[in-house]
Amino acid sequence: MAGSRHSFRPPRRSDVARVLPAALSVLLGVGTGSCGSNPDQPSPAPTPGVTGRYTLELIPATSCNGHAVTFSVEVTETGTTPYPGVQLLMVSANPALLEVELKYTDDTLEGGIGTTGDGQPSAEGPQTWVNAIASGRTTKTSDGRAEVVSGVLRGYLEIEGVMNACNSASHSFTLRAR
Amino acid sequence: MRSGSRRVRGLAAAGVASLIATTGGSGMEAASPHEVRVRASEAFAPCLSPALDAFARETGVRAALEVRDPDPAAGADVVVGDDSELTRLLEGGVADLATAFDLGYIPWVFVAPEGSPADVKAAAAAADRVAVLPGRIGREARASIGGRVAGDRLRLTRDPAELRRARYALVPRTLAGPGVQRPAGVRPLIAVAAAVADSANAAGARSLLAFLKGARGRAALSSCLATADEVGERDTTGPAALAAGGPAYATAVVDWWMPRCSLETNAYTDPSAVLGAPDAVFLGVKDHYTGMMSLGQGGYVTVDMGVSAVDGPGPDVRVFQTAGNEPVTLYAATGPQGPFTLVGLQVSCGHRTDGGVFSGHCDFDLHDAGLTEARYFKIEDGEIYPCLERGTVTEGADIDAIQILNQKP
Repeated sequence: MAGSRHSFRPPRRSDVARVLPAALSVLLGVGTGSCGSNPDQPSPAPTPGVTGRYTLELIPATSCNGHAVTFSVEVTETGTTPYPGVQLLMVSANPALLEVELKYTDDTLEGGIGTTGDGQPSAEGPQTWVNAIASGRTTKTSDGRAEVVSGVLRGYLEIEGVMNACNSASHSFTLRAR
Repeated sequence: MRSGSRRVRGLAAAGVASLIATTGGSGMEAASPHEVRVRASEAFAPCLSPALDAFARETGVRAALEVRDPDPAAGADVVVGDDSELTRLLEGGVADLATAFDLGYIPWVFVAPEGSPADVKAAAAAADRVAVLPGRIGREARASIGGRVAGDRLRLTRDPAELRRARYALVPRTLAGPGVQRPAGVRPLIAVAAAVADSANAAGARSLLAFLKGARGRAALSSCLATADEVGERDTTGPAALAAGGPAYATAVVDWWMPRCSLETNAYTDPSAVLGAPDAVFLGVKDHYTGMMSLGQGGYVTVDMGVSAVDGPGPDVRVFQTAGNEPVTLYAATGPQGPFTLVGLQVSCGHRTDGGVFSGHCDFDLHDAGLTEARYFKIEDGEIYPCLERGTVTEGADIDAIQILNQKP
């Protein structure tokens, strides 16, 4: 699973000015001292952000020889520390079987999409297993909400009967407002 | 290789040792006439059977082998499975980490008819159907042939007889049938044994584990399980890097993130725990560790190494990961703002570390990213397990340390 050539530049909020105080506080043994805390000021979430119901589409990399599957998800905000974030859960009986945890940095959403070992049925039917990092820039919809029309998905994707397990940095995803 | 004595260290080790001695002295072993129930996945059953027979002959206690996924472990006294199968059981405390140790390795092979292409990926692509294990144990193997075998040409089965009958199969060597066997290029399975924490026969479980760890147990397993040297898993890189002038470890945290859900439920979320040399330790009691950061669902930590790594002989960067085998993704950059380049995606991170280091590790080569040097590294959780479905307080890859193996002069 050697990495394919794939580069990205952190969004502007991750600049040195923002992070060096954290690094210095760690080096000097100061800061809050509590596990998981970040001494930085919380970043404001974009307004309006991703909120409400969406369709999450997972699109396998071309080399994986699969086809896209979709999931209906509900988005909720999850706080602002150390970055503002959102949680996407399935609109189903057991929503936690596919969980998406994303952070905002400016207008970019990034974070993990995960299923358990049991997988999760897609809207099209096939059971799907995904453990991958999604990253995509948001754009505004006509109703003012944000959505991702073209994002990158790096990691593991398997679709029962359709596509074998496939690790790739070239999967993609969309998150469209409904 | 990991052993029980290395999983519990320092004062905690002494405490657990005395606890075992005390309960052992209370006569529990002698008062354990009922059988020991062992649950092991299909790949390990052929190796375990003769060892369990030998145990029964020696002790008079029957060891009943149930062949299935060791997770869930309910009803079993001892579980045996691949490192990746037992990670959640051990981290969640269902299986007792203090009792866990390695039995040996099983390499993966690709079985094909005589005359098939020598290249495994080409042979898989030409096959009408490939039989392979489903679930976590077969995951890396399935991914190794990726898009070359369409989903409808895979036969997912745990049935040993069906796997052995298959003309084409990607299987652990113990499940290979007739046909030409070729090295599959997949991480070998590591057979890990551990006692189930709420076992109804704890004394029997301890007795069996002691037997498997001892000379007669090892002898009974040796014809089936390979050693680290035999499967090329011996750690030579770390000691070589030390001999070449001393290692460089991460000196500062540049950035980090984990979801709120993980922040609220994980117990080890201090990013500074990844700085310096590997020092993570399991304290002998469920969920009690020091010296690591659990990244949670898709979290990451970005570090400054203080000096640069260069693309040199062998791997260039090592990530130490604690408690089981959880995948890690690594990105590298020459500056703190990036651009960060993907070096390795969801790399299995539980290779055993020599030199008395508790954590396992995974190695990365800058060459894979087309980089000649890098000073800043972003270490990202590759497990990406749903936070709300958590079963542990250590969700996500558990990062102990980051080490440069080839340092810029």
